[in-house]
Amino acid sequence: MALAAATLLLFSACSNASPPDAPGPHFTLRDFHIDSSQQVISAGNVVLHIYNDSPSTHEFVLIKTDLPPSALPLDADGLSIDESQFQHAGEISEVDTQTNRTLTLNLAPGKYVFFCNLEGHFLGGMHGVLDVVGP
Amino acid sequence: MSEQPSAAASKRDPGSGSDRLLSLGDLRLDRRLRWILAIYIVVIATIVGYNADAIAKERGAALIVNVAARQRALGERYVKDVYMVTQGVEADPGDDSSQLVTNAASLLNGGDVIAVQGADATVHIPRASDDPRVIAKLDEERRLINELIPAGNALMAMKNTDPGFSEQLQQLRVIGAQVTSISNDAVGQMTRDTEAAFGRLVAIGIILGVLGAIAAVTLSLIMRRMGARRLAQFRSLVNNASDMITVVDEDSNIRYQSPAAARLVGLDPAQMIGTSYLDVVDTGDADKVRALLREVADAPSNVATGEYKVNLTDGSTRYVESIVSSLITDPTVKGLVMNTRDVTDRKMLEEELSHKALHDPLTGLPNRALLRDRIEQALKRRARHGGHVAVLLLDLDGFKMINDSLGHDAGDELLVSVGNRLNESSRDEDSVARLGGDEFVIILEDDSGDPDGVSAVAARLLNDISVPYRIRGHEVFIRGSVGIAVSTGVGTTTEDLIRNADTAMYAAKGAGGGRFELFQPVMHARAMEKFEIGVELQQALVRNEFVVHYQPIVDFATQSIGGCEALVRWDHPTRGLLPPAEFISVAEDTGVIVPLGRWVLAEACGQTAAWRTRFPETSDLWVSVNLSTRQLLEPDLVHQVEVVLGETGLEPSALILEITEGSLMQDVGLTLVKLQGLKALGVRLGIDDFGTGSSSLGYLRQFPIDVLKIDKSFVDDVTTESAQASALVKAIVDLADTLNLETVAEGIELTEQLTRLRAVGCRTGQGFLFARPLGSEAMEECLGQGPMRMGDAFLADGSAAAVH
Repeated sequence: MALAAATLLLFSACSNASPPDAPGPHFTLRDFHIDSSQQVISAGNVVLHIYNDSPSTHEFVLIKTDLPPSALPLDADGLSIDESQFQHAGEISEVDTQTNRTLTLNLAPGKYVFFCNLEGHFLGGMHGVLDVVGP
Repeated sequence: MSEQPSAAASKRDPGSGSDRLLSLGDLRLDRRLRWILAIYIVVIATIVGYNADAIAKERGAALIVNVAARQRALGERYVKDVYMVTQGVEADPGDDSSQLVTNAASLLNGGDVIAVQGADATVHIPRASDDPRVIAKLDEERRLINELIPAGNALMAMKNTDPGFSEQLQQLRVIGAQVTSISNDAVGQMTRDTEAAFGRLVAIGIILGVLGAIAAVTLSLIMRRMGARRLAQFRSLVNNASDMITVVDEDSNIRYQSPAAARLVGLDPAQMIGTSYLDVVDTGDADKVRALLREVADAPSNVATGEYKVNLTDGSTRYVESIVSSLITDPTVKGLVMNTRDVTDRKMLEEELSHKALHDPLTGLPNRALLRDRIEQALKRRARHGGHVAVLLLDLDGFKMINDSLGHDAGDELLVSVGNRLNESSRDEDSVARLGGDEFVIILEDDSGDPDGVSAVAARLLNDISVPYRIRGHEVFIRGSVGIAVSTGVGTTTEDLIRNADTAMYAAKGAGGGRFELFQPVMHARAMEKFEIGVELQQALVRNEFVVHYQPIVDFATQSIGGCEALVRWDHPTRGLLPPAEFISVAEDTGVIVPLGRWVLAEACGQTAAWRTRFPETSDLWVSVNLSTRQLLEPDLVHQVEVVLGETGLEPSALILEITEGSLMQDVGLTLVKLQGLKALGVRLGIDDFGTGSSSLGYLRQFPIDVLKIDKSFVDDVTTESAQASALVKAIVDLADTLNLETVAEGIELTEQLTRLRAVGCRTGQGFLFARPLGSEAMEECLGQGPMRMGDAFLADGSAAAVH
């Protein structure tokens, strides 16, 4: 219970609380890849700016893992990542087309992978790597 | 009794002011009502139209969503069918791909699609959406399908044992998943759009419904208010109206009575209910009111109006007017509606105006209009029942003198007194009227067939009015002249009677006044002749038909012509030479006397001036010219005389202007000014026919008179042995001497007269004894004989010795 509370505190995300112009990396979702403005960011409180520039609705999932995206385990259908094996650093389950969303996180240093885990989207190329370095 | 039936009654009343008020109110409310109704209809129509459109769209949207959702299944089936083909299992991925491509195009641009999955029937769908997000997704879907099919074809071209088969299969599955994902995405967006549209529809529906409800409630409130206002208006109108509103049944029994009854007939409206309306109607008018109600009851579409009298509780009577309309068939009224107003003041005014129109305001007697009507009625009665109508026209003698001496107010008082006395002297059945001025008319019916009876009445009237009156402290005597005309039977008109009575009256006046004359046809002939003369006189001046004759005036001492009197003659084209008696009075009446007198004056002055020049022995010849009353009243008389004297060159002292005593007394003040003006010119003034007037002799001192002409009637008398006549003439001569006036005796026909006149001191005279009036040539001849030419007249011993 205490762990859950701490985790919740650590990864508390607020997609609407941060202003759109708050400093932080920008991620642009397209069919089917994700452009990232930064591959390396500092640990601590960070605001992720996600913009969906594609006609499709996507999701944005951030997990902390040392595995490269190609090594991430797939679900049984082989069309999406088995997220249950990872601790979510942050997630926006639905980013509508042509909309901005923000994700405010307190990230610990380490390797992170971000992706859209809709069927066929990760495998279509919608993923990337983010290094969070300590101060 | 509720107001409801009365409201209906008022609407039927065409002359009611309250009805007009109600109509205006209705008009205003109706206009608002129309607006509200229009808004209500628009709202309802919008709701219905919007719903119908939304339902139609919804039906199309459901089909489109179905097709869009089907793409997901088709994508998955295509991947499966491709895989089955690679595994040697029979499948038809081509059909899947064909539908995928067709549906994708139709969703984007509209087109035919398979109606139901698994069937062949097609249905046309419009473009799936106008939402750019949906269109972008469908476009992306089509792009992915275009990747999916080549990937499938590539896989089907490989064997499952070929290297890279698994990678190609994974590629196909990934693209298939992407197609599925985007199809879901598109359907989701379309569903959200549809839900949003539905939400809007519901919101608009709610708004429109609320608006409609508001409109309906407003409509209801306005109609209710309108009804309430109309009712209040009518209640107020009925309760406060000055008109009395009554509803009666066909038997005249009152079913409703408005409060105005208390004021109009003095009764409590509540107590009148159930009583007969005829109870308040004057007995004499009950039948009239019954007929009025019956008229409307028999013809309900009629509106009848009637005037009648009602009796008030205080015993007085008022005139009222009712407008009656029928609402018998109106279930809320079932009666005759009477709108009654007091018209007493109007009736009184009408009667007063009628009386004024037909009566003389001074005496209160019937005026000329009513007189004519009464004569006409009398003639009709006599035509039916026999007998005659007599019209007595009375003109007061010398009334003008009363006016002039005592003033017009006194004259008016006298007229009133005479009118009263005539009324008192007449029988009740006779009519006395004032014709105008100092003329009165008395109409007699019963006695008219008997001339003696009519004459007796006339004599009595003349006698009665001659009794002295007491006017403003003066004892006034007045006489009258009466002309009588009697109807001669059928054909006699009012005009005839009045005109004939007038003619007879003038005959009575001509005979000296103070008497009556019965009209004779010859009088009319004379009057007509006078009229014709008047017409001819107008032209005679222009045609130069007048001539001046001169009668010598002889100086008794020198037995020679001292002067002459100018006397006008009318050389009538058909009747020959006419003496003044034939036309002067007509000339006076028509006014021709003024230009005629002016012409005579100029002619006489010119002729006399010429003679004075031509005959040196008579260089002091003078001429006397008569001035008529009318001439004397001419404002510029003095100037006229001055001009004539200037133009003719006659010495002013050689002109004597002769004026009658009557003329002098017409307007004493004005006449005095005129005479003084003439005197200032040097002209001499003479009194013509002295002694015949009724005025006092005081004026002889007042007016600047030079000559007295002793009237022929006095001269005639001196022929007798009457010492009294001679004494009278002597008194006149002595008076003239006292006042330093000359005397001229007129109408001397006999030597004896000449002798006696000379004996009493008269010094000059004229008459047939010396010469008749002579034409200018004869006068010239006479003048040419030199002095002593009149000596023959003085030689005779009593026989007439006229020159001509």
